Amino acid sequence: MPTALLMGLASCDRCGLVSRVPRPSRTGRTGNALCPRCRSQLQFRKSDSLQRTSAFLMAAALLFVPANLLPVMTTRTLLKEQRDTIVSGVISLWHAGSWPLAVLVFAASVVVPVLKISALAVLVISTARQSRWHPRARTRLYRWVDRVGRWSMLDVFVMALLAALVRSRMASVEIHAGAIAFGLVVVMTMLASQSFDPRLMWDQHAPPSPRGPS
Amino acid sequence: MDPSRAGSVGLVFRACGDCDAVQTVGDARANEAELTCFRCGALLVLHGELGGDGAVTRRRDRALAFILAAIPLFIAAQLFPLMRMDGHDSRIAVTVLGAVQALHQQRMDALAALVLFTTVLLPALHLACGAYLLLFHARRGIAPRAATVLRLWTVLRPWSQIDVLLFGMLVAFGKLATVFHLVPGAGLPCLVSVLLLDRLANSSFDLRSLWGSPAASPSDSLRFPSEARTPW
Repeated sequence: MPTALLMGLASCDRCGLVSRVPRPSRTGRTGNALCPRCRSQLQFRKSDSLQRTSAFLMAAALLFVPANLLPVMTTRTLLKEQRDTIVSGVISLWHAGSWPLAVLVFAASVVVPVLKISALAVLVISTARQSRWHPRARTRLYRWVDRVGRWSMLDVFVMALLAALVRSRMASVEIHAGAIAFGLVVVMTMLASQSFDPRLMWDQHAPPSPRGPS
Repeated sequence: MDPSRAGSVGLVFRACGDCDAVQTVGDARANEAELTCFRCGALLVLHGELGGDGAVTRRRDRALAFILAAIPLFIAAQLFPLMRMDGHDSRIAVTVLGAVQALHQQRMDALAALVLFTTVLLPALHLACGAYLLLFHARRGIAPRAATVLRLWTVLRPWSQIDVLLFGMLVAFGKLATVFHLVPGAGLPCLVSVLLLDRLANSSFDLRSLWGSPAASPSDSLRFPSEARTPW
């Protein structure tokens, strides 16, 4: 089952029309071909997909360290002042008895980013090595990563709401730099999954067609 | 697939966005609402693109109605508070913009910008793009720069995070409810409605159908895909 690329066809990423690209180059670029229906530029694949995805992933992985080590929030009441990282915040939720909330925040703020970064790393490495391992499973993994990743923003919104609500002489909430690192981790992972082109995984899987572009 | 029947049956010729497999309607897997790729299961097209012109028009009108309804609700959601807190010595009402401002006051401007974009600016832009394309389609056909606007709409989709904000409210509510007295504000049902209306609009009409089904152009386009143009 050849891909559209091997058949010399490009799918317009805006209007969906499939067109034949005249004289596609050896590097697989379309050379300024335009979609006949909506006149936008046609691309076989997202440009520099693996490079951009790797760059965003590395940034996310690096930022993940300060995001979890630095404190994100200080809660001041008349009785005490408590400085929390993401994980210690989860632990105090758990001890306070709200274990469903603790699980939810832990899942969104720690588990999902870790899984997302690992999954994208697996996808990038397997694609770069031109692996033919289970493309359908990898495509499903990519779809999951793409859908779920935005939910890691949960803690950012929680912190913003707490900062806005808890403002009085008796109690206050202060947000720290760890929160910025965390927000950036989420942004980087979202950009990473938006840059990745899953069709690259299928390029290794499709047998060359006699009607190929060259 | 018999190409000579193409024009009358209204077939769709697509390359899967996830695995690049080329397929026609006959190849793809169909259920009530959508067609999925036969090879990898990705969503190819909502059924809004198939069916006669009458069905497409009805779906478009429905999507347009949902989006136009969402716009005033979205504005209301910014004006009315999401939650109100009656503390021992204070009553604080927080709107979405209020949360942004609170972060700004703590000199966390990067986070304030992030929240502002993902809960106010980008969802507004996303709604505006959808309304722009559908309004033109209802009145005059393809909007100017429609391809660019559609691309913007597609890119913005994951960045419009009102649903995550609502969950964040749940968590904040859970964290504070034991100590403080929290009351949902009028902005909350407005925001929930915006979310629902946006989902309904998306599932009613696939915006790529703006240009019509490819088989509405000459039936040759199925047997011989149209040639891409060059700019010179």
